[in-house]
Amino acid sequence: MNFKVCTNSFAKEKLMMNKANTRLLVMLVFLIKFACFSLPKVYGQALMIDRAYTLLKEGQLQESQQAIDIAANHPSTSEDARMWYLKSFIYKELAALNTDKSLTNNYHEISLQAAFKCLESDQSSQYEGDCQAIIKYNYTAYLNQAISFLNEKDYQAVILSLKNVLKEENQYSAVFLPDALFYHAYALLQEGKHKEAHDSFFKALQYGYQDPLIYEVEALYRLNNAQNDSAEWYLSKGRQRFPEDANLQIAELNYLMKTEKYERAREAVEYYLEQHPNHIESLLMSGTIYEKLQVSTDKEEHYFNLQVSVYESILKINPDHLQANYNLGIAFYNRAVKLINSAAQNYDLDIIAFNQLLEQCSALFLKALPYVEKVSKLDSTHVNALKALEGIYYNINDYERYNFVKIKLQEL
Amino acid sequence: MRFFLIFIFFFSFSFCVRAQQVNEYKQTQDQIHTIYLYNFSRYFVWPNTNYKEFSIGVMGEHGISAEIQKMADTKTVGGKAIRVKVFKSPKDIDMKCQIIFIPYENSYWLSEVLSVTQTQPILIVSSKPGMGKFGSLLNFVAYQGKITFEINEEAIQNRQLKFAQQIKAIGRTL
Repeated sequence: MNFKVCTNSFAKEKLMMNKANTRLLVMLVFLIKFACFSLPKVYGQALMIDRAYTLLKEGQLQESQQAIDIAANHPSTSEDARMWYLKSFIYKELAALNTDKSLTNNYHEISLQAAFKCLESDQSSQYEGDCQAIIKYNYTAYLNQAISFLNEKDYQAVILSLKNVLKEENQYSAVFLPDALFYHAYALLQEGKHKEAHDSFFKALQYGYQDPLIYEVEALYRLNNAQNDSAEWYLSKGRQRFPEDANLQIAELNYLMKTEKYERAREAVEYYLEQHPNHIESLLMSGTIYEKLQVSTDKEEHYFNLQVSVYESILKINPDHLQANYNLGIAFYNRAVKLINSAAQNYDLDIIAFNQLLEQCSALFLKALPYVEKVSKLDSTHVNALKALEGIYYNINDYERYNFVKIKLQEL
Repeated sequence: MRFFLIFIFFFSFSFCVRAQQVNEYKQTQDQIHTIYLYNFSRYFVWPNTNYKEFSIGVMGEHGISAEIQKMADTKTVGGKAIRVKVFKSPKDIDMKCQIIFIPYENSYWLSEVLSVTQTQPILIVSSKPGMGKFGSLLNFVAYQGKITFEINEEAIQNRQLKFAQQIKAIGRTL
């Protein structure tokens, strides 16, 4: 599978504006609230908290950080809700101003932990709302960071960005988890960690995240683990929820082919082709299905004709389509071989009737020839096309060209 | 809460479309030749019908022997069993054979086979263009892409063999 991620510049601008507004608002609320609650404690290390606050107001963020770290490490203030709130705020500011995207600093993590500490120690719930805002801000930042890395296709960075959101579930992270799990799963999938990706997709689904990709990946995972019923369940649910999703339709088709449910595959591909009549991959797929149905049903002639007509449709769209040329040529060729094989089942065919059958066969071999020759022209190293040509020339007794192709094959 | 960046997955269509398999082509031609050989046994008449079994000889090791054997396992000629014999060289030929088939790959043996068997009532069948004129009684050729056979009537008469009209209707008389 090959996925693409794209960025949206308008959305980026919107993000910047929203970020700026949110920061301004949080800052304003913080200054009013912090000033109100900072009056009583003016002794010992509490002075350091006030100092950190003053420095913050003055815009001296680094000095403010140093002051609050001293306060956080001192026993007299290490359980002070006000101190933890201020610390979470200062680190949030540091994270916001930080332009280094290398994920080496942990401002968001410290801010998040400080906010949780504040909630623990804040007996009177003075900072509850603000701490919750800071927690949400940090989780949002993690997710936006992850999305940014997704758009840059830096999947390891995505996984790292989401580590703190997924680390522990809590009442605040719950709202972020579905998205985080999905992005995490997607990044894992891109990193080739299929088992872990499956676990995350599964969890994302449990948390209510809805995306056709989840159903597709879950179905594929189960199909690869011989859990066909379970795979079908996911496909069926996905198709119910996203009936027009092209990828799920394709996944369902692949599933039906793999499990040899050709009749249902035919219905599915024909439904798909009604919506996308010129979709070459689907036409090719339908050709394969019709080929299978020639064997598994008693309508051999009917499905052979359908098979031929879909390849001809592809060649009308793109006359140089290599696989359509090859498949059409081989369809004629194999049909001829089948007719001969059937005659060789009992050898009772009268010489006149056999001659008529050979006329049909040679017509089929000659029909096959230009398509297979075209493939060989489009790709002179196409071994299967050369093998087919070898077979056709041999069967029409064109030994000169047969020997030429044989030598070419030996050289390859 | 929704996030700010729009994040879209594009899925590249990835059907499991497979290339069709090319069937074994040499076996096909062996089958065609075998069906013809069986028909020759039905539409030709040999002067001596006192043979115990109907023998078809093949010149050299070739896949067609197995195909003829498959036919021989289920069919008879005039109520007599069909026996397949492989001759490693013309000097090994059993003169009691009714048919000798020379595969395309071993066509170089034709003149020696003709020389060894002389006027014996053996239907010599080859499968290379030009062999009919060279003395082979029947020679498989492709005409407009269809496998048919050339009939060398003179050579057939020289070996006291007779054939039904159907043979003439299908084959191409030289």
